[in-house]
Amino acid sequence: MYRYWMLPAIAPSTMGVILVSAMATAGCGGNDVADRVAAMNDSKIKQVANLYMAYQFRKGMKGPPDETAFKNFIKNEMPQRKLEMMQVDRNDVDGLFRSARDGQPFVVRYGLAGGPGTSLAVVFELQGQDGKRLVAYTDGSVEEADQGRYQQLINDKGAPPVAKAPVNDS
Amino acid sequence: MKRATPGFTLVELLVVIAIIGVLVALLLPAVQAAREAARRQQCTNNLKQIGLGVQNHLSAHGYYPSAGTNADDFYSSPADAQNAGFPRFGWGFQILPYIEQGALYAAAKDLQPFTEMQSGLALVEIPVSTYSCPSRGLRVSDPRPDGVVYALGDYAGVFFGYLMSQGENSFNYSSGSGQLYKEFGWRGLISKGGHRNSNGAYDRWQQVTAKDVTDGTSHTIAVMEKAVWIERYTASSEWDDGWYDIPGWAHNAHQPTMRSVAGDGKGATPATPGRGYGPNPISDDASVVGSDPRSEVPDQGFGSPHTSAMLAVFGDGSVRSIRLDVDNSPGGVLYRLGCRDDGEVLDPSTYN
Repeated sequence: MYRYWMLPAIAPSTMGVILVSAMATAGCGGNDVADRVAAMNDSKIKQVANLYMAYQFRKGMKGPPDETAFKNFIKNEMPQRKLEMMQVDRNDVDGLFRSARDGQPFVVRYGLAGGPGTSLAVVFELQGQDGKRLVAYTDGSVEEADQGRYQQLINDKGAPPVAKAPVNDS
Repeated sequence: MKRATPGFTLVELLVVIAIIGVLVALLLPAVQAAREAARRQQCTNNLKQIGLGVQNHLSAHGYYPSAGTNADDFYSSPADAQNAGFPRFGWGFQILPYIEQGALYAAAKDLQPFTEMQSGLALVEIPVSTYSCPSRGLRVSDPRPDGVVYALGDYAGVFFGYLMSQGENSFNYSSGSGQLYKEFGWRGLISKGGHRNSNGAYDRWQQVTAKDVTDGTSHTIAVMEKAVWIERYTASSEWDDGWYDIPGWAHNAHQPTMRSVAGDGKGATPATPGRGYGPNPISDDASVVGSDPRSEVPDQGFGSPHTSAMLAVFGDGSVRSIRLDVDNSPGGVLYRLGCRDDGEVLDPSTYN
């Protein structure tokens, strides 16, 4: 006679399926670091600015002296694994230096020294959109600047970064 | 008649679960305590290894490992600094050959700290378990936007304040304020490394030898546990390079591998001339808080994840407990324990 407080028997095979499914689900968390690095490189302008910072750290905190040196660094010296996390294709470095918003090449301020704790405006859109142009910093942040702010930053007046809204040029 | 499926009744199951719950509740504190005791023992062993590494460095080179030279000197004139014998890494790197990490030392010694080795990883990304307290685990930083994840460390040497207002990085140190910094900023067993460029002339920071430790190596702390904000046990959700644990165990002076027992002194005047600016924070990790816990403030001092005491290895290689409520006032007990030549020998009852 079945009493309502008796537990129903669970077949071993059913229990096995439940356990395997639970373990598989728990093990499918993905690569957290890679995901987070990808999220910090979700636009070309961020990728170029972050690579500028990468150059500084690997070259005695000096910024790339010119475009040729910068591109050679990306093509030849950045570890493939890290480029993959940044979602940068070392075979299309020229394409990397062109904004997806206005189709124009980025303007890069070369030769700036940086290092831990610094935030320098280094990558600028040439035309932008709707009168606003994106400016990317070596701390990975991006600012949408109007004409006055843009000129201030590109002419290196030493203005500190302002609060930045999430933007995406890709 | 159909037979009931054999099994426990619900009441029986609940009773068993309750009994197990009571037993676990009784055993758990004891088990946790035993595990923490084991972790503390491992931490003691780490410091012992570090102490032996420091001793072996002294035997091999004739002087103690240095804190390295800070990054400001580095990128203001990297070529000059390199030519003058600039130590790019701190004590944690310098003693690697003596803690059975000779291969890592050899692979990285000719590289910049942030340049990838053949493995594809930079030195700052490689964890060295000897530099990690097991109570905190192998801590790492948030991932940097270019994919670098720093391996962090839990131990620091002792120095005596930045004295930034005295012009640490841009002074003529043969006299005046620079001399003050040299004499009072680095009076520990591990002193600043490398050379200084003083108007084009190089001069070496003092290489501390055994005879310079006039207080006696058994009375002078070499390396001690850092305070680490408990939220930093795991990487946070966003990149933040402003805190005082980055870039980790390999760093040259200051905070990641050296911490002050005399306040940081930024822009301040010494409270007691030659004895620092004021008490530096000492805390167990759970109590490391500040008005802005992501600021550098909580991360400046010494401290511990262990209960009521922090562990320190002295110059003679002995590992001892220092009470968390030790006198850390200017010129106080902790200051004297860190200072190699203040002429005062303390009764151990004042600190443990």
